Amino acid sequence: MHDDDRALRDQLRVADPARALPPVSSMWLDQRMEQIMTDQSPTPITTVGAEAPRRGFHRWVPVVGVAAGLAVAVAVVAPLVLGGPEPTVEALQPPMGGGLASGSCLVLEPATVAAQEQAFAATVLQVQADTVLLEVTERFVGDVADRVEVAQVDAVTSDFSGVPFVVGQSYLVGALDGTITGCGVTGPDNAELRAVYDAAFPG
Amino acid sequence: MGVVTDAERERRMRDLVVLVADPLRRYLRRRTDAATADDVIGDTLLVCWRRLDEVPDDALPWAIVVARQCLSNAQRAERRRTRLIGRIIAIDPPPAATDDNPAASTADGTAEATGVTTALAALRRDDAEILRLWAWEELESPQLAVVLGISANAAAIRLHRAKARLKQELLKSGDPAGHVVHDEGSEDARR
Repeated sequence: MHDDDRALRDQLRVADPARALPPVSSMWLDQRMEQIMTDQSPTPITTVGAEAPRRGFHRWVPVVGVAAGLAVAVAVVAPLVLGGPEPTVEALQPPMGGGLASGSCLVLEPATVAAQEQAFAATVLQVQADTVLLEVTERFVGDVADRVEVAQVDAVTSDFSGVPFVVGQSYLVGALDGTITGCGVTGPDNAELRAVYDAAFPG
Repeated sequence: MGVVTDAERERRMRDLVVLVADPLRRYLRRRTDAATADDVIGDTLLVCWRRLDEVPDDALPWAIVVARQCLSNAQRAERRRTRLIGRIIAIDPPPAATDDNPAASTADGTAEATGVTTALAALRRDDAEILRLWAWEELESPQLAVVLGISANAAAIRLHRAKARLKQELLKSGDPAGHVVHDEGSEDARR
């Protein structure tokens, strides 16, 4: 490391809020280990309750039981084993008419996009009834969950600035105070909108 | 046999906790208040336990990623609670509480610490974060790459630029310590 880098690192360390934090004690470690060992099992046991009285025994019952058990186990264990922690899901409100009584929108500027509290790229995983589930693929600003749930844009009552989400399509999304911003801030991930986002979030 | 496996897993987990608990606790205390940090480290270690078989040899960057995700979840939940409370009491947002986020305050009251904190705050979030990870978490480019989900080369470039931008900020603010030399890296600062 260059002396210059070392000096910069030392300088940054002066402002380290955890500089004076004492190291963890062995008692703290023991307590944590105890919590981990007692609160959760690495191989969770899921049993299907059989509280209802049996009214007869069918040969397919064990098969269904095993299948259900496997399904539960896969649902619980697979996300942990394959995809890490279960994806987090965050609900956002759909655009609220763009905020313009006239229903028209100003030309989209990078500053408008840069002012968003949350901005991200996402692909629509599914649309069920009126609910859209988006998989977040890129985060520009703000904390965004792994997945975002939002009501489908209502083409009849909206200001027409919102674009209905289509399964499989990718979108660039901006949001303020938990509400997706319309008026062109949120839209299909095309070169034009991407250029605005790139300008808003350089680097 | 199963008992042996469990004992082995427990031993591995204890080794991991000994290795990462302190750095993780510091990482979290640098970015949130003490109570949240305490909650989040519990969640983080629990995820480490569940995913013990996935932990790589260089465990710390991997564990930091887990901690960051757990912290992000906790902060989202907190924001939701705050919004809900705001709606229920139907009054203006509560006055700003005392800043309990150590990441936004200085380690001590020295002018140097204040100057560095101010300079960090003036940087883009990504630049400030890579500098914190480098200086406070003491990660080098390959580890930064794991934490940030980018290539080691990209991490090195990003770190180099962030250093240059920080130096610029420190010079602008008349760095009281004055022991950082302006170097060739400043050309691409604040693009």
